[in-house]
Amino acid sequence: MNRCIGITLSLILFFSSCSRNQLHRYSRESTAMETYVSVTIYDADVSQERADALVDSAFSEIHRIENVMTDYADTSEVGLINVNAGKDTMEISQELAELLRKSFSFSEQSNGAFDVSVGPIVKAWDFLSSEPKIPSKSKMRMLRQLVGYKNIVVEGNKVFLNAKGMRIDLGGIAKGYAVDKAIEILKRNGVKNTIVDLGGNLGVWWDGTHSLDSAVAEILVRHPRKEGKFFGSLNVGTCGVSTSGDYQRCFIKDGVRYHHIIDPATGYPAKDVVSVTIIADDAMTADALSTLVFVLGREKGMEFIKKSKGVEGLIVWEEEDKLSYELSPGLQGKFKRSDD
Amino acid sequence: MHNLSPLRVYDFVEGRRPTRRLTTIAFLSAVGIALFVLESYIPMPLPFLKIGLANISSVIALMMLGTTSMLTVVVLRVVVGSLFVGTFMSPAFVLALSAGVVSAAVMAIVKAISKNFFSALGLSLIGSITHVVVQLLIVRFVYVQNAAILQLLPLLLLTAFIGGLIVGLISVRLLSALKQARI
Amino acid sequence: MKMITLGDKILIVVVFLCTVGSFFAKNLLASQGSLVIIELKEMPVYKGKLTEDRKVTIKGAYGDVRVQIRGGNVAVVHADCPNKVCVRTGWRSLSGETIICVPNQVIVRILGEERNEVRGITG
Repeated sequence: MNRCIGITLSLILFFSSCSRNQLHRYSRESTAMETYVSVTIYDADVSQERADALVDSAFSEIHRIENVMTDYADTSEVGLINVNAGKDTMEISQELAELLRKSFSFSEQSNGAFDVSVGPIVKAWDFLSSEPKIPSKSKMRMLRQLVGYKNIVVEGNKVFLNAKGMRIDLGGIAKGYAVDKAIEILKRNGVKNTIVDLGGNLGVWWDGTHSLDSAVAEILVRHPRKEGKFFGSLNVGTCGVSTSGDYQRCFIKDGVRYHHIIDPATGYPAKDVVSVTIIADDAMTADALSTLVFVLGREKGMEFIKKSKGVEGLIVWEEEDKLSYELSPGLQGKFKRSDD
Repeated sequence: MHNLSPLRVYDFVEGRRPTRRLTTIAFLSAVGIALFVLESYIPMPLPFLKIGLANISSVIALMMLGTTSMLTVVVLRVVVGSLFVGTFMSPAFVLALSAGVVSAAVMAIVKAISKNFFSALGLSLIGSITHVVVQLLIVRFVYVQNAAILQLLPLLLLTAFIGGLIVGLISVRLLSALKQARI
Repeated sequence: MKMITLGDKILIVVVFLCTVGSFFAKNLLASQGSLVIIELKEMPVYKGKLTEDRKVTIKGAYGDVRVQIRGGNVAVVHADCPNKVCVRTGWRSLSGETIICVPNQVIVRILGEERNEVRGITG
């Protein structure tokens, strides 16, 4: 009998010594920038209050950026620039000036496939309304005159839009930027592991890991045609992931799909591909590149990914109702196609 | 000067020859290590599917020498075996050690409680099932925070069942041969 | 002690049955599926299986929020709220996902096994 007790005691001792740090997951969801947002922190021992405070700080940062960058309010910095197009030079924050400069860099690299001056066209399509309409050909001709990133003049902290009717639309880059800034705040407050999701723009921060070299987080890619289902998955460490798809904001009229990723050159939705997922070192780059590569199309898009450092991607296209996809070299063998 | 009289099971159980006891523990551990290393060369579809031949030595230690001896054999086998195979201090080592100790303890408890209800065969089976279940639980709660890992349970149970039977049958035969040797 | 006992035989049968049983249990558990929980002002007002097709209407501060569960997916099909982010979220099916209508303080959650996993969804 003593022996049995002895055995049981040593068993208990053994088990308690085997304990490892269990990471707890703290998550909160809300909406921001016209879409859903979720901030998740993984930590072994942080109190609920502290986790709440950390998540609060992340949300505040995202809302702060929303208030600067949104073009749905005339009172935001971007809104004010747009209202004064062709009229006044506006003084803006350093933050916005830098973001604009980064956008121009993407525009130059892609020969205009990425262009934040595409605002007037996007507004004409009005995807978020209950009755989106197809702009007429003549209207489109006129609107195209207003598009061209070189007509946005940025000098220091001053911005001037060359012509009346021009609009800046940061939809292709602002969410990724907000995710990066939110993660920055969390990192500054000591968070070591977090995932921030703003409408499918993901920022993964996992201390000591890097992009596709690590496999701490599982990223699921939504199926472009089957709602609620998934196309595939991949595993990453610290990185930014973003997807642009023709199913995200769209309407179908007379059997034709019109979606929100506009080709700045034509004014109409880019046609070549169905969905582009980009993995980059940060969320802002991933966001911008997913739009950019989508507009470039299959060939030029994949070329662009291949020549971009630290960038990998998945391009999905449709041929007669069947989906095909291509992976960039660094993603080969790392993407698992689901049977959804 | 030691009296090298023939090995008799009788002598160990009675504790009459402590040195013999020690050498037998060493011997059984060595056998266990050898079986463990040999088994690692047998190709299996999945890395953690093992028959557990090394447990033959543990079971024999339990039946011939008693609980503490068996635990010693198990610990020695896992530690030295992992040094040979190169998994010392790895997650696999932690799993093997924890599961090994727990399953050994469970076997000992069952044997103590149920006297002769189970032979070496039944005890081996109990040991192998416990081993596999403990491993799965540790993996689930310490290493992989995902319930999907439990999907492996049926397959692991099957392997444990077959492995336990094989180890048990061999052990029973060996033990009766050893018992006959004393005659 | 050295011969196969009755206890052994009983044990073999029992373990065998459990092993076989675990194969069936696994299939059964897989199709159990997740739960859908709808919260209004952080209080649960609906709880049901993701596999049960249903239409649920919640009355929030701004008006109706209509949730539909169909074919293993759930979506907010209509909502009286200014931005309609919840409606535009579309169909969700994975445990851990949520659809949220902030003005009406309605949260639709899909709950399942995976509580602590590290995962993100893009697309």
